[in-house]
Amino acid sequence: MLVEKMMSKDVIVLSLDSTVSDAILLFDMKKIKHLPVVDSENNLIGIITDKDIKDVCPSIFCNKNHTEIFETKITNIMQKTFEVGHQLDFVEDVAELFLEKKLTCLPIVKQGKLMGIITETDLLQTLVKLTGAHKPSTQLEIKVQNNLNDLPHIISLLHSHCTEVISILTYPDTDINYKILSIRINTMNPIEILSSLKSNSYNVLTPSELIEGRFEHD
Amino acid sequence: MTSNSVFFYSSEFLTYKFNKGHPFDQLRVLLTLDLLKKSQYINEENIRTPREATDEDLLLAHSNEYIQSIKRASDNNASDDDFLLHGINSEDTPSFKNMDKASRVIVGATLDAVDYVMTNEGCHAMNLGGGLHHAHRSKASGFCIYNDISIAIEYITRKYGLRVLYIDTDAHHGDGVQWNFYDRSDVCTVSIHETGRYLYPGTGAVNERGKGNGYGYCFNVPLDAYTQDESFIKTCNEVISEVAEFFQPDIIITQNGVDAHHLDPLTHLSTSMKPFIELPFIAHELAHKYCKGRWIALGGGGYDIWRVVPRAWSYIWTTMTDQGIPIRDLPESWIKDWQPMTKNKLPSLWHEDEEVSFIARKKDIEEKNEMTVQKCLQYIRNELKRQ
Ligand SMILES: [Zn+2]
Ligand SMILES: [Zn+2]
Repeated sequence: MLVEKMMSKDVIVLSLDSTVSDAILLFDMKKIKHLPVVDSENNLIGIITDKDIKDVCPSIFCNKNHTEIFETKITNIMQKTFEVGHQLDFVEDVAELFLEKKLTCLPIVKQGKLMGIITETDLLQTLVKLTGAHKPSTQLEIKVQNNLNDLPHIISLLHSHCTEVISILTYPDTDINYKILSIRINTMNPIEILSSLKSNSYNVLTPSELIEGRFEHD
Repeated sequence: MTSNSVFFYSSEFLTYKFNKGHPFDQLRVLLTLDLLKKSQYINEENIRTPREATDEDLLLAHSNEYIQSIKRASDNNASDDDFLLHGINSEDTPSFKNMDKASRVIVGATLDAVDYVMTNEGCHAMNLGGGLHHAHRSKASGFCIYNDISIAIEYITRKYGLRVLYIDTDAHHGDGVQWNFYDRSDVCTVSIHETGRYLYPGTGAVNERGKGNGYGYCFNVPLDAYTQDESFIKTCNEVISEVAEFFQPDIIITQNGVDAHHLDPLTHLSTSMKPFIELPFIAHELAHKYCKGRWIALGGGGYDIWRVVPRAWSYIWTTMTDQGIPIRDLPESWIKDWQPMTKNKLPSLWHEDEEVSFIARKKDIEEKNEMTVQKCLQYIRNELKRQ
């Protein structure tokens, strides 16, 4: 998936003459944590997070009046060096960048102009979409051999039950010779599909592990 | 017996039937009503025939295109792209003759229940045919066609301007209702359900809290499989009462799915009959505490229609009408009349000792559930402490 498919495009921004109190107001009203600062031509000049603001604001335990802090120009405290991304970046690469640099947001620019922004929330939402969990569905988990040779047969079984497949993904099992195949299907009633998978000797994972206490000793 | 509560019933509920072998079977409403009648918990004057919902009613929570598709599907079952788009003819919601009309009567009954309660005729009303919480704005889903709950809540807020607390204790997440009111602060939704790990619809995580103005007005408690009675009841008690205290509702709507029971074929929460005795008490008490008694109880899931649903749903009625908890024998005539229709042996007592299966990881499950409740309520617990 490309970054342009998942970034937020309606970005709330600050301008060069915004003050700390403007930023506080926006963080509060819009319930966001990052604000890019742009000039009149939409060129990205800096970025400020709610944490940057907290760092400069006086503690509530301090009695003195600090009005001058609230009138400080945002350009004096914003981060001027920061990572940026491109619309054609792949989501996997962006996720790695977040991990590596401990980012909480990544502005997306095109020739210096702000095109969008990606936050941790956007990344997680994308993960949810990739797993199909945002659509009403039942998840089947089947332990299969690494080579996935069983996949065509499993799909044809589902097909014979006229079940619509919402998403398929795999993740490694604790046993390196196996994978867990996770399939989301569009039905509330998986009873027949489950019994047909089981009668074909597939290892379908179910919550019954909790009855037997199986994973306790894993 | 107090008679200012009403039970909405129409034989047309029984025409809401997808196909033979489909787990959703409205015969359970008749089985419940007949059980109440034969045990003399209900009189004819408590039973009302509902109206049929109009297009205008349905448009409160559905798109016009969707309604037109359902109408078309009522006498035409050939699949096309439009049906596919609207979830019609999927495995869960195949089209059937008269599906539009059958679904409208269910909505009409829920709306009539609202009007009954709002016009001060009486303060409690019940529609066990309703509670179809999975239907979306433009999509049939999870056995549900028209979402009578969303329609009724929208109707209440527009016509009467009240703050609505929606409580959903079905084993499945109440997704259709949740998404419909996700950005609203005048409608508070609470869903306590089995985790979506192996269960439809997969949503209902604790961090689904609403958005925009509605942030903090949506509560989800996904419970682990094999939660069983104690933890289920404790969770419902805590969550429902704390949310009600926080939200201060004007009216309560409960969705009383009874598919958390261990005999239910679709789910794994594995409770006995106990929660279904407790839950109506909780709702009833809160309705009188905060809402001048205004309480509408709806049905929901429940797929063991012989051994579980009739008794479980009867408790709602006996609680609503202050008749206490039925004990001892079920009426012989009820057993005699219905036993020939099922291979399952009908229960003979209201309260039978149920064998509870041993769960090796019970303590872990209970601990996990407690943490989930804490996460769900952390904001309002801080808020209530501050006051
Ligand atoms: Zn259910
Ligand atoms: Zn009462």
